[in-house]
Amino acid sequence: MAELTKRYGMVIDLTTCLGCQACSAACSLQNETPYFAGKFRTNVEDIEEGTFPNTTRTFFPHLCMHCEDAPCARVCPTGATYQNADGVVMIDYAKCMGCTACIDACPYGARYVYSKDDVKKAKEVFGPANQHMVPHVDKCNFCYEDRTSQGMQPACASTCPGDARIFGDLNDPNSQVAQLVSSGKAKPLGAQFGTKPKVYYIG
Amino acid sequence: MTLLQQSNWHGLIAAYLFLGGLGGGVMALGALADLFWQANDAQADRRPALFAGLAGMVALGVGSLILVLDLVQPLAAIFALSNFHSWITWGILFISLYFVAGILYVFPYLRKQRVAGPAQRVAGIAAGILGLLVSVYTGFLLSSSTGIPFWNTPALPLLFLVSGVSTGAALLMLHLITLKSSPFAAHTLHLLERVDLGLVAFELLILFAFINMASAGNAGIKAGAQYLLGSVGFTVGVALLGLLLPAILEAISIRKKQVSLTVAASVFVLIGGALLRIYVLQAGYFALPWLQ
Repeated sequence: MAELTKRYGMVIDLTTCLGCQACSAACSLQNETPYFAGKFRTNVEDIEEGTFPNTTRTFFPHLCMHCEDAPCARVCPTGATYQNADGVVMIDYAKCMGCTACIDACPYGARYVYSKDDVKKAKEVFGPANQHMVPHVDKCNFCYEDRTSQGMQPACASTCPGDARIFGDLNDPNSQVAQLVSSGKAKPLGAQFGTKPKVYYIG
Repeated sequence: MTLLQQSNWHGLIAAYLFLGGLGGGVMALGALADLFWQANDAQADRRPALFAGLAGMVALGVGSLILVLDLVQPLAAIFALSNFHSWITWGILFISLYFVAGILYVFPYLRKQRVAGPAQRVAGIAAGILGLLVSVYTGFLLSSSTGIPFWNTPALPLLFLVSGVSTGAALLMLHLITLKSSPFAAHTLHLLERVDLGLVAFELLILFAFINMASAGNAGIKAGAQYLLGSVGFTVGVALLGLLLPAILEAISIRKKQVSLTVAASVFVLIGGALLRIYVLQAGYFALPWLQ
């Protein structure tokens, strides 16, 4: 395998997430995803635990973990899901037949069906020539084509008021993400699944 | 710990898993009996092979059609076969070759040919092996789901293979009892009943070992086992009526040669096989990592 030039990743700081869902909104508009059907590429869980007076409330943002050993890409019969040269797990919508094997393969619940009905509704909401002209199984692609490959931040990271999302190149030792990961401050979620996720969490 | 029940694969996929196992199993047993349990001469009775081949291809054909219609974008299926890490790629390959071999094997019998030529025998053996591969593939399809702990085990391919061949035996036996004056049919029925008794006993053992292991496993796989043990449709429908009862009926029938017992056992095996797929799909529990 050729040496990867970049290895995009993200660190999410749970201590600064406000649960405002600006990331979900920015993502939906940037990527024209079916928020009208309750489907999101990224979302913030509002987790309440314990009984009064000993209660905690955690806001937990999640998205595709862009696993190095992505199980969704492994089970994809058409090769529609693949990892690109910058380490981003991408989907070629035209090649996806929608067998949905990837949905059951992903331990992070990152994938959903962009259905025929969603495609129809998206034409009304986002215009007749939007990014999703055919039904497929969808997920986050780190805003690769329109933003991150052009040197910009993903929509969720650039819109986050608490700077809870830090995006960067894990292969660049000077990047903030690489330093947070190598210092051990940021840890992967669900390491037991063994898929080597590239999204890490602080807190 | 919050556990969720998967809702991605249900009814139609269960129907496919059943029909795939059945179509694969009946072809394998039909070809085995036809090519190895009788002499290849003008006296050979080719009706069981014809039935097994045609019924198998109809079952698998209907099952595959269900799968294709269930796709979000069926036209993109032309891109399948591009990732050999994917079990679906292998499944499409097995199913396609099954039909090629099955047609080459069965077609000469349709034209009343009695003696099978060398090429036809090879096609028959290939169709039988591909039948077994299709049957075991239905298990690999589920067991490659890394997000669903109850499916992601080596037990499923084995369970679905044994169950698929057993339902195939049941269907073939239901045909054989209609061939009253055929010595070959009587002989095959006699052997198949013994084979199926062994398969059903083995299936009970696999199920017991699987659920026994799952009951002591991680939260997701444990929830699957508990769901099955708490469902009457599984404990009574699959385990008792679909496996234990047919085993008893077959054991009696082998001694007493009562056709009614064979019919009852075969019908229960088929119903049990269909229920097994439905319940295994429903046992697909998982925990999202942020809820752990």
